[in-house]
Amino acid sequence: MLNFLKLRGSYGLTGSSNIFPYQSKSFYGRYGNYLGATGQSPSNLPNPDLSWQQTIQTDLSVEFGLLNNRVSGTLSVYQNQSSKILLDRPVPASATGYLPVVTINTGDVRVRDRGIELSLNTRNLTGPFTWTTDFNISHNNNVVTSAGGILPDGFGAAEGDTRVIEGYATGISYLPIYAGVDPTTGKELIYDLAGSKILATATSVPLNRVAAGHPFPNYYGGITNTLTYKGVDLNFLFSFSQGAQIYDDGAKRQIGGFINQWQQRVEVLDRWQKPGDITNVPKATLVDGSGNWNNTTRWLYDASYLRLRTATIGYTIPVALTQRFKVNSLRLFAQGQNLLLFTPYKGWDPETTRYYNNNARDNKANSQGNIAFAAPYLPNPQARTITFGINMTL
Amino acid sequence: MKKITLWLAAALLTAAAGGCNTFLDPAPVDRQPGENFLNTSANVETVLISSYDALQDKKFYGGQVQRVGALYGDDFDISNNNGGDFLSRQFSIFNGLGDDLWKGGYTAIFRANIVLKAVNDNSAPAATAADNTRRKGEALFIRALAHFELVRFFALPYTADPSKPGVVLRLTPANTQEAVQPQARASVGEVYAQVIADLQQAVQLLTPTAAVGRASKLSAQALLARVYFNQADYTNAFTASDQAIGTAAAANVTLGTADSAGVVAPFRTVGSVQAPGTLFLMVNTAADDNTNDVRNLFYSSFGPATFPVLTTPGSAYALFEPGDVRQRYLFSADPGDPGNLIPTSLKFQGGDPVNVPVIRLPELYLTRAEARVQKGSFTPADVRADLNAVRTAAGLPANTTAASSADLLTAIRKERRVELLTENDRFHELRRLRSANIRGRAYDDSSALLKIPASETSANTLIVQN
Repeated sequence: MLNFLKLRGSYGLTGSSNIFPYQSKSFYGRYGNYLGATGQSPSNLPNPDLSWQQTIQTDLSVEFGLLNNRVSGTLSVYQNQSSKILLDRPVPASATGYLPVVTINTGDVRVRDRGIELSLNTRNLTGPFTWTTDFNISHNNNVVTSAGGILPDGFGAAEGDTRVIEGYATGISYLPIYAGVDPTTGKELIYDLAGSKILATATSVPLNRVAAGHPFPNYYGGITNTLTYKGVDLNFLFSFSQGAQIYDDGAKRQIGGFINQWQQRVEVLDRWQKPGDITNVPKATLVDGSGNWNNTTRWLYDASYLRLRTATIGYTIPVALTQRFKVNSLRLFAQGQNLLLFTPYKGWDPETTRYYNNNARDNKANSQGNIAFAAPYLPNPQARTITFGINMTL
Repeated sequence: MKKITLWLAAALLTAAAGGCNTFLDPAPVDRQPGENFLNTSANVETVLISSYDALQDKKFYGGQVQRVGALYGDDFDISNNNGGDFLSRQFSIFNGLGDDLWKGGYTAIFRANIVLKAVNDNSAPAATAADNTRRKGEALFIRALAHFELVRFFALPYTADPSKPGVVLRLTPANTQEAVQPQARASVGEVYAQVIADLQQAVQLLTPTAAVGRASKLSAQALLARVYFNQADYTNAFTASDQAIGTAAAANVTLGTADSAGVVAPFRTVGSVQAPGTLFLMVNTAADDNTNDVRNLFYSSFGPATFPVLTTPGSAYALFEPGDVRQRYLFSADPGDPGNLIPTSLKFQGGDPVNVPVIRLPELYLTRAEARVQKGSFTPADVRADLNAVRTAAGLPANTTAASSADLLTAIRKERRVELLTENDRFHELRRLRSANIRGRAYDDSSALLKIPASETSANTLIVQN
């Protein structure tokens, strides 16, 4: 019954120095001019103690084949433990005024990834009618095990209010908890740190932020089925993800924020309109700075989905027929991408991530943009594509 | 032949070994290494220049100082737009104006501290004693000026309680280890004491006058008078303003004439030209113009200004007397244009770069006049002489009647308010005089203040927030 079994494991320590050069040394650069003379001042805070970032990777896998390899698969567990992480440590603005970060690696900041992955390939039917299934599912648990005493706002204010916070996943949102709309005034409420409802204002919002959201899914994977019968072949791939939350960074402007400038989403129809209205959408107002579209957990959405990512149907014309025309093989096919999507997510696409700004390293204050993967801002949704084709071999 | 090959091999090996370091560790071509940078006198001077540049920047005297001064005070209509947190009196730690001021001020301070350390360490042996003295004086002046503006914008006034948190005092150029260390806010009293100590030293080091746009003994004395006056320390404010006026007279710095040219000159001069009555100013030129913000905040040729002048009873604008050339040339909307009825400040006005005055002589006269009254035992004629110097330059008749201290103070304060309108004075005056109502908040209410910005608090755990 068991006809193939392989156990493999690995343990490794890898170093990484993927940062810009010269950060250990001090330099002067041009800064402005005055009275016709050029100004120069330090262009960085040097860090002579820089060293490698370390990652200890451990993994263990079982590969197996059952029932004459009708069923085969791999089960893996792994752990990646990163330490001495190279990162931009914030510098109080009063220290230099214009050099916001220094690149450091202390042993204090640690991130751990633990996960389990299963892939299964089954040949369900063999013979003239074949049916194979490839299935994989993964779970990964990412947690910042130590932030080295650096405060949530300290790793550079990442876009979309995402942060690195000890005890939470990388890219967790840092937001006040939304407490609905005040039925008498139509204004936005949040919970303060003690748990009472208070008005959301420019002062109260930043002071009552907590770690919120769930940037990574609980599990994700895909299933591919391939069926063939005589000349006909059919292949379709469903992919799925469960449990991730998206901070929809553009939503606040689309639901009441930029009401006189942007197209609005239908949710704005449910807005508070008169005292006594019970709703989750505050009143719409044109008053600038009205504070009715603060960054809160209101914009965190469940981004679970099931998507028919690709489906292909093809027909290969019998060789006996095609060879009469000196053609070795001829296949006609139709392929569709992104044909179906099932999701509770109300934004445009639950599967998009924050654009990654390649120039972010130039603007050091923004260099942590890769933390903001779960906070997309007006991303392009994936296109639905249908392709028809002919494969011909002469 | 064999010998030659050996020699060749040896030569190649040597070359390879020598080149190895530069190959593995190349120096960047777009930056100067920092190790020996300050060993050159000319380089120390460039750091001083960059410190001035930080003051000149739009984050500081190129706009944000005047903007926040207008938003805090009660002389401008801030409801139009850009009032933001100031309208709701709900300040965010992410307020961009607060962030600009904080960073702008500390940038100037950091660079000034580098200059001070270079001079104190004598890092550039070729620098002359005169260079070192001047640089030290200028750097101390810049450090004092920036700390002073910061403590005025981010802390309760000295007249409330000097033991309350001021701002972070930075007196050495931070290296990496020092830079990441949290540092608490010094008390308001400690910040003022440091500012005064720096200025007193600068007064000793600097020459009476200097190139236009650079710190001199005169500018240090004038700033010192302003600092004492803000503390309501009238004895010292009198002495400092008296000395500064004396230095100004010796250097032939005088008030402007009571006409269009004289009134407008301090605000419309460009480049290295000393307009009448300016004691310290930021020089701007077409090639180095940082005034786009300040020029367009109070005046717009396209429509309503961001901050029109309030004209309601009790506002500064309503205090102008008939015939005041300052109102005529610096405030009234164009009388020939009936469509332009909302008065705006024409100081800094225009599409062209302007020099930005930081301290002007009329302020010193009015400081000396008020300090003379406040410190006690005064001769009314002496007080009126200072007041009337300013009034005469504004084309107004001399005040010959005020004699009691109450009448004199009323007249002086009215004059000060209209003279320095748009120049970041009013809010600090209200606080000096312990006003219970500054746009609805008392002078000792820290909720009326900008928050210490997130760029500081996110990395500095010792900050006590406003």
